[in-house]
Amino acid sequence: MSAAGRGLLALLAVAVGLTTWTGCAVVDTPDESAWRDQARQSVEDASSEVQAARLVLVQLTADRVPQAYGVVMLADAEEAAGKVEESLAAVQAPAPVRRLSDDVTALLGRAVDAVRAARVAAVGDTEPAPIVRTDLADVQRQLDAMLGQL
Amino acid sequence: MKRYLAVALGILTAIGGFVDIGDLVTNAQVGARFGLSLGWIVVIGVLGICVFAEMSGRIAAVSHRATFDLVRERLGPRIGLLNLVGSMAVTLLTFIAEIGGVALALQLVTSIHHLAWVPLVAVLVWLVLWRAKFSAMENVLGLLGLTLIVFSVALWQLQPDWGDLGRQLALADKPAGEAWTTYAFFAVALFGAAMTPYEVFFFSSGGVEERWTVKDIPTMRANVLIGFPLGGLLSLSIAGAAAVVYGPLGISVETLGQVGLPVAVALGKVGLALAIVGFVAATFGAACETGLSAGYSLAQYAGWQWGKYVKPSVAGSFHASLVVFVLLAAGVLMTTVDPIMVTEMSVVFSAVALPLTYFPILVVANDPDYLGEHTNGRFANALGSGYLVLVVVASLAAIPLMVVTKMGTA
Amino acid sequence: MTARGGYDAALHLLDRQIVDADGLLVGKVDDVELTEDPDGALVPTGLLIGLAALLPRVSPWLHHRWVRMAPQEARRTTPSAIDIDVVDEIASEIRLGVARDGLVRARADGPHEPVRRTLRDLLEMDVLLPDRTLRVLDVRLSHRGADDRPRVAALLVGHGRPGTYLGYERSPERGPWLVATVIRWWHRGSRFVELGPGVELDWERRCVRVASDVPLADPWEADR
Repeated sequence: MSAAGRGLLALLAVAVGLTTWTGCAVVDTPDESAWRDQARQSVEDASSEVQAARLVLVQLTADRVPQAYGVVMLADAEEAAGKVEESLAAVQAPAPVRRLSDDVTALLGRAVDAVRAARVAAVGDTEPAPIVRTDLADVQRQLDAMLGQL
Repeated sequence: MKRYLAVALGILTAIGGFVDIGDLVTNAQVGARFGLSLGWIVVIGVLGICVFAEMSGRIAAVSHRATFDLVRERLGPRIGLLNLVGSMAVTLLTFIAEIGGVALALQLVTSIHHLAWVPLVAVLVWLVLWRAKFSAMENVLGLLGLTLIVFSVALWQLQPDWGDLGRQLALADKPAGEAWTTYAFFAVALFGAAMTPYEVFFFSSGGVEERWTVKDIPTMRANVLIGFPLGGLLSLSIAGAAAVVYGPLGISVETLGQVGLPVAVALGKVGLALAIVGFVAATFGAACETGLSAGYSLAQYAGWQWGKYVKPSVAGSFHASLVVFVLLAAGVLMTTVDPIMVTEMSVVFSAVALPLTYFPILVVANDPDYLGEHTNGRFANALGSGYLVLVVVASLAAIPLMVVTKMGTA
Repeated sequence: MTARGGYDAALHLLDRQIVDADGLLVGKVDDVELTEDPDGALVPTGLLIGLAALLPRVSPWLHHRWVRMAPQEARRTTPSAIDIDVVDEIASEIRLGVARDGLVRARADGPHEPVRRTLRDLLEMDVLLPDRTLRVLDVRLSHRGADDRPRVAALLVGHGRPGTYLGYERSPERGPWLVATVIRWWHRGSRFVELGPGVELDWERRCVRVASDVPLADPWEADR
């Protein structure tokens, strides 16, 4: 075979190899322990966003942060929490933990809602209702509890 | 008296110019997650950049050769070209991150989306590259960057347990929940953030721009050996403040807003305003430096006339390339890529590309044909060789660690 | 530049910055033109500049593709030159005595012009010693003729590529120890070949034939 032919063949082999090696399926189907790892990571990430939102709300109320700054931070937290929820929801949980998976997804949804409520309160330029803060604290406790189960 | 003023000014701008978007983000991230247990890497990185910058500054002062002249002279056109492609890719990545950083900082003040700021910032950066005097650019932005000292004040005001922070710093005490691979990944990232290749391109080319001579070597040394370590202290303060505020809450740092919030917690609105001025100045200054550095490297490889010491019309190719870089950076940012993610990539790839420029500088710093009697002494060579090994290890480890830890998220 | 051993073309000329009389930058030395004197000596007569000189050194394959894209363009195969006579000083930069405008021109050689070679041709040659084959690593120029023009006096031959000596053979005591040791080990088999009787440059076959009675000096022996 000519050198050019060999070169082409090698190029093709590398390309095929790359496709099969990365082998990313459209839907991620991990086994149970891998799923638990992913779920734990998601809950930790969501918890980080909820805590950040709480911290920002406290600073806003104490007038230590300009409103614009607080709003940007809360919007960022909301977006990040939304991404965490979506990415875990797109993972196909293995059968034994599907119930648990539903619980986790629902809890992540609550976390997103709580952060969103904080953002709404901040943009509205009204004193954030105490209920927003209690909500965030509540979700935070549940996230902590969920970490124990995973 | 005037001479002391010049030295003081140089030191102050070195402090203010030391921190860029990579340092801001990486230090806050690491501080929130690892406390000060990775602070020793900042110390090593700062010492490294001192060694590196001192050598290239000395070469620039004595022989008037900037970094990429030497890369091509010593490594030849073939390896030199590979080097150019790698270094320019990293520098442009950093350039994109810095412009994005300015836009993010402005977003924090105005709550206007950062994408809306990108075109304006890009045009302003280009205007400075085209029109501003080199020394004016360096001094104004460097001095404004000094407002980042507010992070040190904030850390002090937060009244942390100094004993505990000191213990973390001294013992490199990795938090129990973190894997060693993640710890190593962030070590490499911090190292890359402290020792970015563009700093040296800029520093040595700047020496040629300002027409340093042998007489300027003591001033240059003072700037490097006092200014950079103090700049490193700023980095540590950012990490420390993030550690105190975020560590106990388990918050991970993902945005520029989070980098600044500890200052607000400690000092309120005034402190935060200073921090934001610092963000804008540091990232804008670094955007100018990285843009110029990319142009410097290309022109120095090709042999074109470069520099702001001549009129733009005399250095046509150089200024044309700057226009292309600015357009490229703005274009990439307008694809809505996250500037923080670009920053994280840029510090890792800085570590990858570093040996390519470090090695030729070390060789030439020993060459009497260039330096005459000012070649490296025994001490400089001991440090230089040690860092050569370190730089190579970090470079080889960076990409495997990035894959294994999924950019530190695993 | 040290005068005792002349200077090395690849180390001291190639890829250096050219600066004109006003301090403006002209370009890099992408290659060096060597002209054959009637007596057979090779004399550097021009600094070659431009992609036509640079690309073959980066990658002959790439250069070939570039030429094929516009085969009608002679300047893609024949580089332009700056005459060596306008060079004032060879230091860490090459300083010219004239201004840069319109300086780089193509050679307009008539039929009776001398034979012109390039440093790249010389640097790519195999060196056939009686017992082994090495490569040209650098070309030593020195003032030995009747006039004060430098000419090719000796070849530094060894393993690897031109430029990989990084200048360490010129002053073996140079630091840092780590780099010096590695380079010394890497080039332990290299030799100096003085041009003269017994050394034949074959430009057609791109090789240097060295007879068995030609003395080979070790570049690491300090006194040359």
